[in-house]
Amino acid sequence: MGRKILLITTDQQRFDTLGCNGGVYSRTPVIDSLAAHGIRYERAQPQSVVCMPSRSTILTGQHPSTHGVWMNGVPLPADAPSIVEELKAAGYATALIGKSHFEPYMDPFGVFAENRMAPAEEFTEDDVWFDGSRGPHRGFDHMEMATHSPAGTLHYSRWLIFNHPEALGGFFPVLDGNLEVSAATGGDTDAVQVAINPIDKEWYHTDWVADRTIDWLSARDQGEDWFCWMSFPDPHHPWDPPASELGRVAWQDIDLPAGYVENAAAREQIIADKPRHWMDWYTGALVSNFEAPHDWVPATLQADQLREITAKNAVEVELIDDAVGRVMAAIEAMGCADDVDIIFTTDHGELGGDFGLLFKGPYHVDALMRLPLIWRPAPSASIAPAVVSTPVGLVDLAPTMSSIAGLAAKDWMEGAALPVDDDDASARGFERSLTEWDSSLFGVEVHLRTITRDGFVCTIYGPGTSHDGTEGELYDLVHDPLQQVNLFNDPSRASLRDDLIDDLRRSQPPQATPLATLVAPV
Amino acid sequence: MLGAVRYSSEIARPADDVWAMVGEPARIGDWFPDFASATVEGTTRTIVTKSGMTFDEELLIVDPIMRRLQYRLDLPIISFHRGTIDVIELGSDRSLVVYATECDPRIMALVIGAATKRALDAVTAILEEENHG
Repeated sequence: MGRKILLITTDQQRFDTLGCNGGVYSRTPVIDSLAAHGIRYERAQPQSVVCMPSRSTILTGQHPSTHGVWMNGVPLPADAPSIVEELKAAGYATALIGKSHFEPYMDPFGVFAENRMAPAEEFTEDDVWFDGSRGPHRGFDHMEMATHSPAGTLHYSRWLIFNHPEALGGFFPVLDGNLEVSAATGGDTDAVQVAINPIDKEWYHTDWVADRTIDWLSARDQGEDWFCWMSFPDPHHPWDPPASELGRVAWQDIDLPAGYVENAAAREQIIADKPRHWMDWYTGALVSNFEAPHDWVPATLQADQLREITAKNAVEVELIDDAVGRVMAAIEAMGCADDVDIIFTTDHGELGGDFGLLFKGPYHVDALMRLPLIWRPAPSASIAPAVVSTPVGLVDLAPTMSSIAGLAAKDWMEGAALPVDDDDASARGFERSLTEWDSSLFGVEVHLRTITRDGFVCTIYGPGTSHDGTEGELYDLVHDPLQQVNLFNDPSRASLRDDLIDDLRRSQPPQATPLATLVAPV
Repeated sequence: MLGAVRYSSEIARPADDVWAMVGEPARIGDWFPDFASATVEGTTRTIVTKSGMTFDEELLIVDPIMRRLQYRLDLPIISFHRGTIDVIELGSDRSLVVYATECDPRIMALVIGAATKRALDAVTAILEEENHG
């Protein structure tokens, strides 16, 4: 009998939303306790700041340039490498419950397995694996999927439609009549992507994901090794948690986030010091990516609207913390808790009002790139609690899970098992983290490559719609934690900048070509 | 807002051979992998997809001289659509097939365009396999 693995991911969660990371809006005692008894990473970064590429990195242990999911809407091939296939082949029972998103949601022809399973009342499909053998889709015995709303053909949608159809209309409608991300407003302040959702808490997708996880875990045989990826769709927008829970965090009591500069002129001065697409989006002149509402102009965001969004986001985080607590109690009751490793993280961050912006896009700053990451090793492994400040990445999760299972990391994995403390990180050469952005959507192109190292984050731009390829960003994460002063063109930092760029170019994996086809916006 | 995508494929077959397949409206079920069947009545082509959906298309141009087929998809969520297939002779035994999709809402251009890319890959494989067979 080996160690079991519970991988908990959320979607679009900022580092500073957890109490253990200094967050002040949400109470997260369960996750804070995991951190206190495990390893808390202070500089964990995604290799992409949008869902599909980032989730593909978790599964494959590869950077987007290698696994080929270069933007949302590009599917991860069914026979891509998968850590879950490795665990399955080693005898693990395997499940993903909640948001998967390795394949696009907009799929009217039913091309993708993720969208076919629920209508067929199935929980996996037979498929080709990376090694050429056949097995369950991507290695998962059981996939029971959900996303941010009951739209689409996933299991949660069908469960809600068949069991509680009266609750469908309470969710924020994610897409508008043109199938763009909706800019509709709601709540007390007419804030974008906010709705008062009268749904019972027990029917909301956070509790559903926990319930289905507990059911799957409870069906495991005593002594069976298992891997469960419990993947919450929240706190990704829309911000429409159950109305019954809104009293947890009153928006009127919220202090504005530190990254939100309330004075518009000062805020715009900060943005003006960054590459042009920042200001173009802020003013509504250019929406470069599908992930933000096409018809929403960030410059219109008001302080009270941000307070309400922040509060609702905090409620969603608290509900996740409660749900994690219920699952941990179930594991305790199963009698195997000592042998369970728990990893808690997210796929990318949320702008959350920093620089007056919301949602996400080609903006490589801490709001999107500094992630909560906690590894609570199985108590039976006797690994001491620690805080790691060295940069690590989601690319390191697959080799970490290999190591937990007693498997050698595969040569296609590009990361390394997470360090257990900073000495371990230093001894094993952890030094830098890389993050990529590529998008090409209806004639608008953006390309970024970023390195985080030695307390600095440096981004270079490729030629695109708003850039000629000479632009860049350089921030001192220690002395400028809000990344408000762009040092890229500061002559006194030229040597440091050039060294980071040289390291970035040497370390960045080459982009797999030809680029895979973009088949949907998301 | 209108969106446009365009895919193309070079096929190692004469343009007339390629046109014989892609220019015959009723044969689309033979090479479009997402479609199970197609029937044509007048200028209306009725498609049945493999996922069970049925919809009509209006044939706008079927021009064997220019080797252009153009059609309009009729679905409630689409306010405008135009699909255009051009077969261009590159030599006595090579052709270029260009498949363009214009659509409102623009998002559907991506989704429909991706299906046309799969179809181009499929028709290329079918025709080149016939060549080798």
